Amino acid sequence: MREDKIIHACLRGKARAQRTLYEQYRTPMFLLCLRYMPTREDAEDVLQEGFIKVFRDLKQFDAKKAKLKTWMNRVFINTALEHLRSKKKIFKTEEIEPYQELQVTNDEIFSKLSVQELVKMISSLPTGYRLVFNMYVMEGYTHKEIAESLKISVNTSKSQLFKAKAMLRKQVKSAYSLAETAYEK
Amino acid sequence: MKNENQQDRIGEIFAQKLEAASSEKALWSTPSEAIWLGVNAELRKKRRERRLLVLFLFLFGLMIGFFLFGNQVMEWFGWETKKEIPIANIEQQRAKENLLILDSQSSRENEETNQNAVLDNSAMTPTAPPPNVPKQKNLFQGALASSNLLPLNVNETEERLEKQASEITVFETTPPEKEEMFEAQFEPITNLQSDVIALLENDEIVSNFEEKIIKQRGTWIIEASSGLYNSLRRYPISTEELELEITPTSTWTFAANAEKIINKNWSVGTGIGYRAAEFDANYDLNFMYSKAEESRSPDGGFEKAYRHTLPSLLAPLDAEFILVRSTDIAEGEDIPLSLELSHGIQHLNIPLYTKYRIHFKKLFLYAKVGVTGNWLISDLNTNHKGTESHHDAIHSRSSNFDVADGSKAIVKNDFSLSYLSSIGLQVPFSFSFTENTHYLFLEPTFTGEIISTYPDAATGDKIINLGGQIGVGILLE
Repeated sequence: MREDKIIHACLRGKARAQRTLYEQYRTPMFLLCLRYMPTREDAEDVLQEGFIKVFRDLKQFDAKKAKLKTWMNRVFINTALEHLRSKKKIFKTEEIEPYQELQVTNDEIFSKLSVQELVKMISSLPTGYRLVFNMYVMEGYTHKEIAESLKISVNTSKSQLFKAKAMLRKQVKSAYSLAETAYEK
Repeated sequence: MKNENQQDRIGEIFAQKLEAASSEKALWSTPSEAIWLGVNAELRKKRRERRLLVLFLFLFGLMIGFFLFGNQVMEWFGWETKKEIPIANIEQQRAKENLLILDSQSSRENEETNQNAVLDNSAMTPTAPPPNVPKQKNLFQGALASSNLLPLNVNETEERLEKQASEITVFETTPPEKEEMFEAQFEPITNLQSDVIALLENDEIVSNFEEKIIKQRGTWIIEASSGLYNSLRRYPISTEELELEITPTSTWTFAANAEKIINKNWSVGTGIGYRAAEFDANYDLNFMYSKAEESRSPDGGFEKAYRHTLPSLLAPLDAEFILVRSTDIAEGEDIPLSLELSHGIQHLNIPLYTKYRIHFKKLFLYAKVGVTGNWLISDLNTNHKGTESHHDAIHSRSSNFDVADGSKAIVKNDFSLSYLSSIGLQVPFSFSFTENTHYLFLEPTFTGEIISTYPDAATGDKIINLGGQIGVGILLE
């Protein structure tokens, strides 16, 4: 069924169309939730809440302005942010270790890591790092947009991104070392 | 610089790998089925609310339609409250049922001498019966009778009016007077209405109302309301299949209720109400007088009798009316008749109900079910007025009917239990001089009542009321 027909049917409250839309987008949206939330349980909560909002607000979606996936991404990101805000303070000062050179500069290191491991790495980031990294790197927001959305300064956004990347590098290196060790053995 | 490039490269690689994997279905990236069950449960709730809204609008429309076109509907479906009794059976029936026919002083004067006189009770004088005709009974006789053989007291007055323009005007000018009164009642509401419309534009009031209901569990809501109902009923006495009839019945209610909030959706309530039921039946009919079909009372009076099946609690009080005197009419004469009946009773009632409320846009919709205990606090008041027009003269008569002592049909302090169900909408608003949140509500209502109207009845009388009430409520904080 074409996407516009599915949307139309969803707007009329058709249960089958709603299920189809859910099936179509549950995996990408769940990946997004996993990236934003610290645990799988939290990600599932946000996924459920996000889909309820999608079906509730679907009439606000304008196909001329954005793709459905883009619009849904925004709904799920907002839901995740609301969820995080309600739970605790998003940003807290966290010290990271001094910068350490990553010896591997090619993609080889990443080919040895699964998507699941990468997602886990992102999830394990402190909340502030995780949000800025996701919004800047994955969703393509600018620092100004992130700052407005998270109610922080642009410099804070930049610094959080820097620290997030540094921490990820560290995690990648660690995971790579483990993988190499396992390979050598 | 190298550091930054490496870090940017990390971000880029993360983005590429995750984007490529976003549509891949793997076990770890597949949410549990419980997520869909949760989403679907919420969607089902929305669908249910949508259906409730449609049902609400349908019933609301039905209620409005019933008030506007109820009488026409009755006619279309042939649901009439009057039944013509075969005239030939009247005497036989009277004898069988021991119907009380009161001998009152005849108000009938000799037509040659008193045709133009206007008579009242005090002016009534006995007259000698015509030759070969037995002693004339009362010329306008009213009786309550039928299945349960109720005795009857009749207080009779009679007026005979000449057909004069001024007197006709009296009948015709009554409706406009009522109309003026009706308009006057609505004047103060105009101001209130404009306030409410302004308040409706304020979303904050709506969200406040919901928030308060959610947060203030266990607090109370006080409501005051007034309602108007029309009734459907089943014929209670017949041993045959119960027949559904519509009667042009109007019932006014006034109520004050207190509701306790249980949670966001549920509340329970009770209160006290007053109910004044007026059962009206107005007949207009023409008949052509025919000597061949004439049915005379023993005194030679022409009789045209109608059985009026009274609604609801008054059902046993079927009435027969003899309207026209044969001495007043001529062979082949077209006689228009009009008969007005009204019966009134009053109840106090105490409802006990539960209410389920949902938020829909700026309104709150609710459904309510419960039971109501009703106590009869009044006597039966019955009024009858009949008019006939012939020989260029209008005859207007009125009688008062009271149930005799010992009648078991209507007894003061009678108790009945009724069930109620209704749906309604609430419109929150607030006043500037108080922080309390108020709401207006409109509530189309369906109530059903089963009551045994007299001890020997084979079945209880069943009545269904369709109507609605409007009122205001305040959330106590």
